Amino acid sequence: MDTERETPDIESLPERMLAREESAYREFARTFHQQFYRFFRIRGIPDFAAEDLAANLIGDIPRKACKYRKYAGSSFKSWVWVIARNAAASWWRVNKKANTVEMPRDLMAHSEEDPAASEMDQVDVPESIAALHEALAQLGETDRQILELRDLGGARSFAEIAKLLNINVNAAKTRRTRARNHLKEILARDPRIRDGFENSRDESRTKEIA
Amino acid sequence: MNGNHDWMTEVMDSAKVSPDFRERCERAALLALDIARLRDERERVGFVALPFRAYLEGLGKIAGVSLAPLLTWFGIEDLSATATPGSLARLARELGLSAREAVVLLRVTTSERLGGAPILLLAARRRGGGPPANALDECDRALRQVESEYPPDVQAGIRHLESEVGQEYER
Repeated sequence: MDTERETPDIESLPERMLAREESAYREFARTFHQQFYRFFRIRGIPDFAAEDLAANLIGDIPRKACKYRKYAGSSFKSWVWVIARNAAASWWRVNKKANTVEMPRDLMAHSEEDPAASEMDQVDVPESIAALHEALAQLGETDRQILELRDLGGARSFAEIAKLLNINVNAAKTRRTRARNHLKEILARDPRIRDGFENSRDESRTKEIA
Repeated sequence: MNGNHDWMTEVMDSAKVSPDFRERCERAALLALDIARLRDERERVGFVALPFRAYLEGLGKIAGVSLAPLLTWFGIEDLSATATPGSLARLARELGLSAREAVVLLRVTTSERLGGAPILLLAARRRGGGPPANALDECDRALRQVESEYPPDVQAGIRHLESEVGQEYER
């Protein structure tokens, strides 16, 4: 998963946060808010709670950045995702009585639950979000950022995207088209998307015939 | 998967976040920056025997940080009230104050709310006008003297405050 891949810009964030650079805090929020939201959603956390958890993490992690220590083989990005997994596991622990489904298996290592007592396939995971999250992870960092900024809630203009990513406007437009096409190819191969839409198309046809 | 059905847009819409959420996250990140700046100033300034509100407002002015969004985030309506010691303690801990410092600032708040003489003056009077040796200890001693004359319900309120702050710091 892309969440474990290092990128130079993200790795510079802790140092820049310690230097109290406002741009580092903004970049952190811009880079992670959508990723956190999807991460929580695909682990069966409801929409409103996923937003709350994501926003809290965006506020909490920079405050903990002074505790991050870089050592061989480590990365800020993987440190951030450990915190996100802990937050998701903690949410499941607190809400387990209210939930009719079990905690996702990948959070078990971060909880006090018995791993054998749960099955990931019992979770009502929004499959399209899971497929999209994994597909985005296969894109390059800049392509993913462009889609996040333009198509996944960022609603930024190409001029803004160009400025944020330090590329020209035409390059932003071209890369966005290319990134969308690439993403579409990956998603088209994913059975969760393919089957889902084929089923819904079949249902539409049945309704039309009836 | 072919045809006119725009499945791609549908998939992307399913994972789209709202502009409100984006702004909320950006505000949360900038709030973290404000806390970091206040924490930096707090380290430079150290302990000063002021009511909690005056101390924080002073730090905010020095650091150029507006306190209102911060108080909203921590669920604090009034810095001069000690009715929500847990929230005040969370904020104090974030700013790098020790539990003892937080309790003393809140006790100074109570003392001034009750119309007592400024604790800074009482502490200076106790040491006979010389330079302060340890501001926190001196303030604590001055407060204990003043508090010994408080009515029992106020003394109970201070013990409750100490307990609440202590619990918050132990979490």
